[in-house]
Amino acid sequence: MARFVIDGQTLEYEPGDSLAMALFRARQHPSHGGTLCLAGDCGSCAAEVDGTAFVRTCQTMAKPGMVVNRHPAIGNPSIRSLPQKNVVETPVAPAIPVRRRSVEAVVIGASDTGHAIATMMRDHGHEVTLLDASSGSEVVGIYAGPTVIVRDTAGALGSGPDTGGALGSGPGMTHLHAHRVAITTGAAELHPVCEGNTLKGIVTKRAAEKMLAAGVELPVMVTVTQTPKRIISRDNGWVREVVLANGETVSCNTLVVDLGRAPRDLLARMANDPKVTVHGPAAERYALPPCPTAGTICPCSRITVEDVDGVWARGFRELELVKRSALVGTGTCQGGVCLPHLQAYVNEHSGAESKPFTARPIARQLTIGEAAAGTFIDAFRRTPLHDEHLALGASMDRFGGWWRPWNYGDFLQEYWAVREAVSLGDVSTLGKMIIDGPDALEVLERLYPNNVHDIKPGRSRYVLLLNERGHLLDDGMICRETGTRFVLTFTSGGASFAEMWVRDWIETWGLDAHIIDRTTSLAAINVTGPFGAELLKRVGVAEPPKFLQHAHLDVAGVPCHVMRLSFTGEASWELHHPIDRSAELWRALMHAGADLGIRPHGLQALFALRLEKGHVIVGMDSELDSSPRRLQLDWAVKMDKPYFVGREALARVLPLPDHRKLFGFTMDGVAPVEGAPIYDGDDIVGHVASSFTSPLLGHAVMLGWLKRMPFPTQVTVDGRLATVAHTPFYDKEGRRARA
Amino acid sequence: MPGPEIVARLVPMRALRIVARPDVLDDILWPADVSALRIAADDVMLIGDIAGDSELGRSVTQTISAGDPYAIVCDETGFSGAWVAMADFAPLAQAHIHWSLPEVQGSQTVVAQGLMAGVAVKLLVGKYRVLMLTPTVSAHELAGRLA
Repeated sequence: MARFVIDGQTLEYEPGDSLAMALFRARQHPSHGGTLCLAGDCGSCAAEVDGTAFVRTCQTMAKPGMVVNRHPAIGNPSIRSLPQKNVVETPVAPAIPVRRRSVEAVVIGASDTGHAIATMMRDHGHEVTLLDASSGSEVVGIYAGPTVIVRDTAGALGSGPDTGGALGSGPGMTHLHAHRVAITTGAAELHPVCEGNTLKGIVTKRAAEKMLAAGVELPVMVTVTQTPKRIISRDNGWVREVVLANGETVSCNTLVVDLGRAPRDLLARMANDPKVTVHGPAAERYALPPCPTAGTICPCSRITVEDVDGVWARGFRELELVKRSALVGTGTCQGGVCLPHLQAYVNEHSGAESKPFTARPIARQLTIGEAAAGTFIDAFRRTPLHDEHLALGASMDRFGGWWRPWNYGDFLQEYWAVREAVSLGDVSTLGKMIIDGPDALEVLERLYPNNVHDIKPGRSRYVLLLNERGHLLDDGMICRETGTRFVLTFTSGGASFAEMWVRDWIETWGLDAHIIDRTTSLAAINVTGPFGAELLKRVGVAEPPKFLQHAHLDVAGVPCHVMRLSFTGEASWELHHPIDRSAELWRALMHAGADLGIRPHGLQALFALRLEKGHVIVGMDSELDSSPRRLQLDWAVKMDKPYFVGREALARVLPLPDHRKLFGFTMDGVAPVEGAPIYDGDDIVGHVASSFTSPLLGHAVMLGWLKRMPFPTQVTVDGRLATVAHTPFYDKEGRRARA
Repeated sequence: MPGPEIVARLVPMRALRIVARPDVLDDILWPADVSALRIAADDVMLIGDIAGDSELGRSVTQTISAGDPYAIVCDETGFSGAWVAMADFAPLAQAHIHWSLPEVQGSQTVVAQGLMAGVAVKLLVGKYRVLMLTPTVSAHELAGRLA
C-alpha cells in the first residue's frame, strides 16, 4: 500500500484518495480542526505539501513519498529561504513557465451549468475553452480585459493551435485573453459558526457523502440542518457531542452540517466587466445563515465573533470596513466561508442589507514563482569588459542598471594603484550623447547653468543638469568638437533619463538640433594615476590631451575619443571607444602597464578616491531637492546668464537663507557608516552621506548634510568629534589632477 | 528552431547609424545590400556590410550631408542580432512579447520596437523572417531569458 509522510509519520492511503481524505480515513485532521468541505471552498484542510505552504489537501491527490506538514497551530508557516546563489548571474529564467493565449470564450466550472453554457456557445459557432480545477486548470484570478489567470497543473492549455505547439504542454501558468467569460462555479456549502466550530470531526454534507462513497468510516454520525448552539469536544480536540438549536444535546463523533448554500462567487466578485457573466447557482441568491453570536467566524484568519463585536463597537459599521478592520475574509479562502456569516452579522446589527465585499486576484494561494511567472526583474546590462572583470576576480554588483565591479579582492590595493601608480576603471556605463545642429549651442546654453559658448573646440567643461525647480538632476561633461557639435556625458544612473530630457527640451523650444545616444554603443576605460601619461605613451599616444582637453586618437590601435579630466584626484583620461574593441584595448593597456604597477579599480575604490577630492555623486550625496547652493556647487552656476532651466527658481530663493547644506567633515579614527546621524549636542542636525577612512590622510573624511542653522563647525558622529572641513581633503590645489 | 539556438546566433552586427532631418531621410533610396531600420523619424540604422570609412559608408554619408550638413553619421557596433525565420520567431513572440506585432503585407518589412522578455529589442519584421536586434550590453540577459 502506498504511503505519504505527515508530520514525520508515514500514513497509508487508498488509491484515489486526496491527502485530506486519506487523513480523515485514519481519523486525522489535515490541520488543527475546523469544518471540512472537501470541495476546495475553505482553508480548513490547508497544509504544507512538499515544501509549499497553504496547499488545500482536499484538492491534492496523495502520491507515494509526499511530505506533508501541518501548519503551526498559532502563526503562519515559516518562509523557507533558498541557498544564496552567485549574484553575478542574474536569475534570468523564471522557474514557472507562462503561456499566453487569445481565446474566444472561456467557461469556468465544469458543472452541469458550465457544460450547458459551453454547448450553447459551441452551437453558436464559438470556440470554447472549458476550465475546471478537477481537470488541472484552476482559475486563480480574472483581470481586466478580461484575462483569465490559470494554474495549469495538467499542462492542457499549452498546446493550442495559436502556440504552434512550441510552448510545450507541461505544467505552468496560462494567461487567457478572452472575448467572453462565463462563470459557472456553482454554490458552496455553509459552514457552522458557533461555539466549538473549530473542533475536529465536523464535515459538510457533501464531504460526508464523498467520504462514505470512498469507504471512509464516519463513526457515530449526526447530521444537523440548523446551526448548533454549541459543539463540545473530547480532550483530543475531536467532537464529543453537539447542543442542537433546540437545546437538545446529542453525542456524536462526526458532525455533518447541512446548513444551506452560498454562491461560489469569488471570481465573479473580482470581475467587473460586461464581458464576464455569471450563471447557474453561482448567480443565485441564497438565504443568509442566522446572525452568528459566538464561535470562529473566519477560520482562516482565526477571527472570532467576539473580535467582530469589538470592531463593531469601535464604530466600523459597514461590511468593507468590518472586513478591513477585523481582517475577516482576508485569509486562505478569501471569504468563501465567512462572507455569508459576516453579511448576516452586519445586516442584523445595522438593520440594512449589505452587499458582498469585493474580491481581487488571486483567488487561490500561489507560490511566488507562480505569481511572478512571465515577469522579469529589470534587465541589468553588462559592459563589454564584464568577462575581463570576472577573470580578474572581481566581485560584481548592480549599480545604475549595470553590472559593475565592486572590487577585485582588495580595494585598498586598487586605491593605492590609483594614487601611486596607474589603474584602469571601466566607465562604459557613463551616459554619452552627441548633439549637432544649427541650434545645438543654444540648446546647451539653455540646458546647462554653466557657460557653454566659451568652450573652445577640443576643450571640455564640468556641468550640472538642473530641473525647473533648480534641483540637481545629473552632472557630466561637455566636450566641444566643432562650432556646432558637442559630446555630452552623464552619470551612469542618469543616462537613460538624459536622452528624454534633452530631446523633450529641444522639442519644447522648437530648436534645430540632432541628438544621438551613444551610451550602449561606446565603451569607456578610465586611465588614472601618476603613471597614466606614461602608459598612454606606451600604447601610441605621444601627447595625451591636457587637463580638460579632449581629442580623437588611436590608442593601441583602437580609435578612441580621449577626454582628460579627473574624478579620482589623479591625472585621468577617459578612452571612449567602440564596444566591440573594448576587451582588446583593456588587455593592451593592462599588458603595457604591467611594470608600472597597473591594477584595475572597482567602484569601492572609486568612491573612496573621489571622496578624498570632495566630489559629489548624484543620488548618493545629493537629495531630490538639492540645489547647487546646498551642494556647494554654485561655482558651476552662472546666474548672469539670461536663461537656463532652473534659473528662475534659483533666482527666487537666492536671497533667502537656506537651512540645508552639504559639508565636508574630518574626524579621527575609523569612518562612521554612511547614513549615521550627525549630532549637535543632543540634537540630530543631519546625516553622513559618504564616508571613508583615508589611509593617505590618516583620518576619516566624510560628506554630510547639516539641516539646521546656524551650521555648527563641530559636531558629533558615532559619539566622536567631527569637524567641518573644506573640500577637497586631498590635493587642495589640484596639482595632481592637472599634472 | 528552439529559443536557445536562436539566441546563440545573436552576434554583434555592423551598422551605420544616421541621425538627420526626417525629410532628408525620407528622400533617400537606401542601398539594396543593407537593411534600413527607421527607428525614429530622424534616426535610421543601416545593417549590413557597411562602415563609415567603407566606400558604401562614405557614399551614404556624402548623400546625407548634402541634404543635412548637421547630420550625425557614425559606426554602430552596439547592437547584436540575428535573422530568424518567422516560423521560429512566432513561438518566441507568443511567449515573450506582450504587444501586437505589425501586420506585414507582401515583400514589405516593418520596424517594431519594444520589450521582449523584459529586454529592449528592435525588430525588422518581414513576412518570412525577422531581424532581432538588442543592445549588445543586454544580449546576455535576453539570451538567458529566451533560453
